[in-house]
Amino acid sequence: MPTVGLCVVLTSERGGEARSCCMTEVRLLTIACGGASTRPGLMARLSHLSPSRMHACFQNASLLPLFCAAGFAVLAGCATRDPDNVRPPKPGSGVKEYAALVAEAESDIQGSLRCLENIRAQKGRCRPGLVRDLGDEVDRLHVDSIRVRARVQVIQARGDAYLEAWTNNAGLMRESPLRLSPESLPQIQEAFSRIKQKSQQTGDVFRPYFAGLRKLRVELEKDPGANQTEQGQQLIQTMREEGVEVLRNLRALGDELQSFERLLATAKAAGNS
Amino acid sequence: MLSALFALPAAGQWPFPVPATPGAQRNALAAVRAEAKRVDNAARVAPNYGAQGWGNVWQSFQGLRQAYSALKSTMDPRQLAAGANELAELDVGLDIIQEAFANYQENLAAGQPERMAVRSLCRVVQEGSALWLQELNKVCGRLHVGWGA
Repeated sequence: MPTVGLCVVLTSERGGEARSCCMTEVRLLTIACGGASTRPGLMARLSHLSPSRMHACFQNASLLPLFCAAGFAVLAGCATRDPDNVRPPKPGSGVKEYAALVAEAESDIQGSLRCLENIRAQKGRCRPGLVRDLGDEVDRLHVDSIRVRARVQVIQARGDAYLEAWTNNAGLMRESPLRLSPESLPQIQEAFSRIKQKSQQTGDVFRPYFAGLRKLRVELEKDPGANQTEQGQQLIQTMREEGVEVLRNLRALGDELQSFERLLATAKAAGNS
Repeated sequence: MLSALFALPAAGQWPFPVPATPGAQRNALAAVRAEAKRVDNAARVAPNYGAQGWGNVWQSFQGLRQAYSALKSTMDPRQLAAGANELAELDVGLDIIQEAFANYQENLAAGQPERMAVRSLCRVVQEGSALWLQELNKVCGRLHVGWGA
């Protein structure tokens, strides 16, 4: 919120006490506008102005317009936001965010593998609870994978646009701006290429795994004894192997993202020195 | 049935160009949120209507896609450039949620009980759309969509 400056012009008051009271309130109002970054914060600060003191000040009619103007200035400061100041993402924040998505995806895949393990270990027909768990796991995986899958796909399509955004360095690919050391550019580009490659590989192994999980779920919902058939057991085994492969790829992708973060930090430090 | 619904016209944008004003953006964003609410309601009640229920979910989801498309048409070039990656991810996010409808058809064809197929579809669409809306709100906040007088 922009700081609202108040120009205080004191007119003559009838009593010195009224003058000191009102000066304090105006000072508090000015501090409130400058310090509060949100409307709730501003309101909390303004609430410290006691009603009785405000009433005493408003008794002095000459200051009433001043307070009205101050009130309008406060409200105007709260209502107007600068539409032209679109914030770029913080440098490196995109990498951190992607790494967090990948870590979440690892956790989700581990959950699905635990579910598969429970089904594999089940003696006899699957309990209804196990079948329900698998269904829940499949649905959760669909929802929880939306963001990371979207990132994986769009990185393939937009490539260098992500590199520019992550380094917050438009023109990175052409000239070396001053923020990053020029010597680090080839390394950074190579590291980003590895991230793109790992992203694609992860997407490639996830698709059949997810399709297989859905198939297993349908089979067990049709017939909870499907885990006892040879076909069912083969499907469970295949899913376990594919799930482990997805996990391996996610970890590799996570490692590449961490390396990239470290590389970026080093390059910036070198560029700033 | 899905292919018949695909034949329905899904207008990507309003018939007339929408000005890129903060007021237009606020209205468009409100429309997206209203459509998301419709999706949520449709997905919540659809399991009670069996096979017919999913049609409402489909229609409301397409309404959400159209409203989002209209919102993007209100953004100015600066916002579109600054948010290009995130907007592309939101586009793909909708595609990924929409996969639930194709999965529903496949699962039914494979013999999944209808009740379970509808419930699964509705859960994915409901929760997926809610997550998508959260991301949209973040992106719109960063791009200052609808800010200013």
